[in-house]
Amino acid sequence: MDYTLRENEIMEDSERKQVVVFELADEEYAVDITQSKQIIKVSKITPVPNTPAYVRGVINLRGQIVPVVDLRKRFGINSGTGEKERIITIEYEDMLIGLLVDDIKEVLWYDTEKELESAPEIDTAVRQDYIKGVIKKGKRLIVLIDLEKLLFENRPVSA
Amino acid sequence: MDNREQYLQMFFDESAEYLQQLNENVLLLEENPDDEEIINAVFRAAHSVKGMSATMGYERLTDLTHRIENILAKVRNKELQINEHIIDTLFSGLDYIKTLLDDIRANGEEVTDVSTYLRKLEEILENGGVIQEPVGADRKAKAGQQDFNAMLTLTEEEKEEIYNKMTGDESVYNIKVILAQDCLLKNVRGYMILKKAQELGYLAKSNPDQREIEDEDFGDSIYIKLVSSLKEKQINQEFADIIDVAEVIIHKEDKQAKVVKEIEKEEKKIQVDNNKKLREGLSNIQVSPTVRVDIKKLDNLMNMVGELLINKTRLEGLNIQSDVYQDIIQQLDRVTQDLHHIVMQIRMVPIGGIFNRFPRMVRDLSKELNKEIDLVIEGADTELDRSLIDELGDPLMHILRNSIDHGIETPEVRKEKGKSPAGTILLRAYQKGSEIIIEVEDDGAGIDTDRVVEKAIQKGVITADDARQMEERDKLNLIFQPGFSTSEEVTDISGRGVGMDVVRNVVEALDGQVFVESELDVGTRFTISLPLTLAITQALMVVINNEVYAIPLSSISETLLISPDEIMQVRGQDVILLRENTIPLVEAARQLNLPVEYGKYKEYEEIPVVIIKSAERLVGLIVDELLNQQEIVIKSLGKYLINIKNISGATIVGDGDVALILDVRNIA
Repeated sequence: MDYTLRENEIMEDSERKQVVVFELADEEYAVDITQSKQIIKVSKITPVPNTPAYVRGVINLRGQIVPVVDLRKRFGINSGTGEKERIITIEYEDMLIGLLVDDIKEVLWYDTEKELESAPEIDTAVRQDYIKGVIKKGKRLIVLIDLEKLLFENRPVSA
Repeated sequence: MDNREQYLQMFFDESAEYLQQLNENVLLLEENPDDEEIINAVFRAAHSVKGMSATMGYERLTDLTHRIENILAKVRNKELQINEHIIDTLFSGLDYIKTLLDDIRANGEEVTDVSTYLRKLEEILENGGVIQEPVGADRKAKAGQQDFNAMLTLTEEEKEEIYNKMTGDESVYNIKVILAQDCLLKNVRGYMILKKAQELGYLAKSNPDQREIEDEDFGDSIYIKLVSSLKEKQINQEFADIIDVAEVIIHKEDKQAKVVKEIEKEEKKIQVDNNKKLREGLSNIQVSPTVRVDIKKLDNLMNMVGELLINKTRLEGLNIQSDVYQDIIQQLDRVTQDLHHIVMQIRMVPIGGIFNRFPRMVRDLSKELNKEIDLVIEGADTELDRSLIDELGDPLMHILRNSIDHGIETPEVRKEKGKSPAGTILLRAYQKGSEIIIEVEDDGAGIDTDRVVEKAIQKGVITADDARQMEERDKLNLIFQPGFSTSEEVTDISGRGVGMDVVRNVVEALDGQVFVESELDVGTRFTISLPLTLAITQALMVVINNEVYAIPLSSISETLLISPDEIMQVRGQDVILLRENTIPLVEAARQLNLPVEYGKYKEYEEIPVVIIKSAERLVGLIVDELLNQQEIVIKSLGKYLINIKNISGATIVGDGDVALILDVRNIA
């Protein structure tokens, strides 16, 4: 299955924002939906030598070569690869990059004022720098990822 | 073709393009006199022509475009309102530009005298194009003049008539005779006025004309254009003496009639010439029609051809035993190859597009540094892929700046060394096989490798131990290391040598290579080699650690299957002997840092080896399996994965999987 997130789902208003929620080692994480393009099932990923371990490789997405970043490895989380593994492609400054995650949970709205807390109060497996904040939905805690820092701090370049 | 001619051709091409733009935009301006975008477009184009003309040393063109630019600047600053007169003047200015260009093309220099036209432009600048409200006594005459232009418009025949009637000492007068309000028998008075005019000189035109006057079909003014040798005052008196004439406004045309005659004649000649040229131009256009296309569309087209190729490869993979199938495959193969070839051709542009920026830069910089430098350009018509052209400008600029700044010595130093005071920088492009070579060569001081090494150690790029083991070539290549400097003096031209590493990065990102050769006091040569096209190439497919990789055929010398006993050891390095050449063996898996056990190939019966050309020497690359040879579509790994060691890109193979393209140039 391969579905593209429809344009009209990407609506935003001043206080409510939408995110794509996914799972990494039984914890819930999210990225801003405006940055995500589509969710695809994992097919063959061609490994790229001389890149950091968290770069799983590249895939062919309709003729375009898209690098895939393994978020578990990026965060240093150890967990097996499961059946439900998916790639969320995100677009950032004209670049299309795939994020490999354990499972896609849902797309949800949150209130930027009432439901978002700053990161330091929460204890997660992920380095604080990569966290924009934590979305609180009742008892659920969803870690909102700072894609820019995650992807471009120490971007993988072999010398 | 010598240099000058090459620049000239570029100059002609570009100025023709700008002239076309100017013509189009002035036309638009006429319709939308207040549109700032159009004004700016005209201004920019004029500015560009001015810049080019100045660079080429054509003073009249420079002067002309400069003044046109001035007018446009005033328009832009709202100090001048576009009117018909300005538009006309601009257009005839464009004609003059064209005439001058034609002069240069035909005679190698500007022939046509434009000084009278320049004065015309000055007039616009001075009085603002619109006739300003004059002050005091002058006012009526001036106001009259405005009327005259409208009331006494001459046809070509009438103008011709005036010239023919005129002798040297005559002037053209515009006269407005105003009859008294209570004048009776206006037709009679009018008749008398015309009759008087005929007595005083040659009556070129009157408004109302004779018939209208007879019919009394006019107001209370009569306009007359008179050619006469009499003085203004006398004419005035003559008319004022007629009964019922209330006022006479008389205005002598500014220039001597003779001059007017010449100017007008010249203008007519230009017009005729232009018409003739226009017709010639039209027939030229029909010979080779061209279309401008957005480069993105060509990129898309190239991608589509790539997709087609991939699917053709997949189709071939089916390998059906059928004549029809084989036939279709062959046809498809031919069509895709032709298509690819055509698209490639379309994308090719002459490198002159970037070379022509440099003469001016070299001139300015050498002046600034008190050096004498001749820039010699060769092969500006060498074509390469458009996408390469865009990227090459900066690296070339940097190498040139380095040559000017660090390479060429001052005239005094050169004389001491027994060289000619003027240094020469040679910028040359040519095609060599499937590569484009660009060289920047100077006859300057050369690069002192001892100093390079010294600095490299000082900067911590290498250790003294490293240096002792380095070959001369490797020492020279240190200049491509990040943050390297050789110039004692820090100038704002090439800074602290910052950029040679950037040059290398850019060139390598384009799948090219950059070398440097240098000899002390003789000179330095930088050589950039680039693939002719980026998009599609022939490659050998190999397997390394269960993954398929593509190696471009351009870097392969041959392939071999060797047995382990052919492998010999030289100074701890595995080598093979191939036609008396000792070729070092390297293991692909190790080069790629793959997580496998190295050296296992020695256990194989047959070892597949790809002999590759790496930095001008041969290296045997050990792979796991040799597959087929095929055309591949080169795709970038994208901006996220940049500068990955030994990987230059990726391609999509028949089954839709991604195969990486090996960059073997730096494999040692």
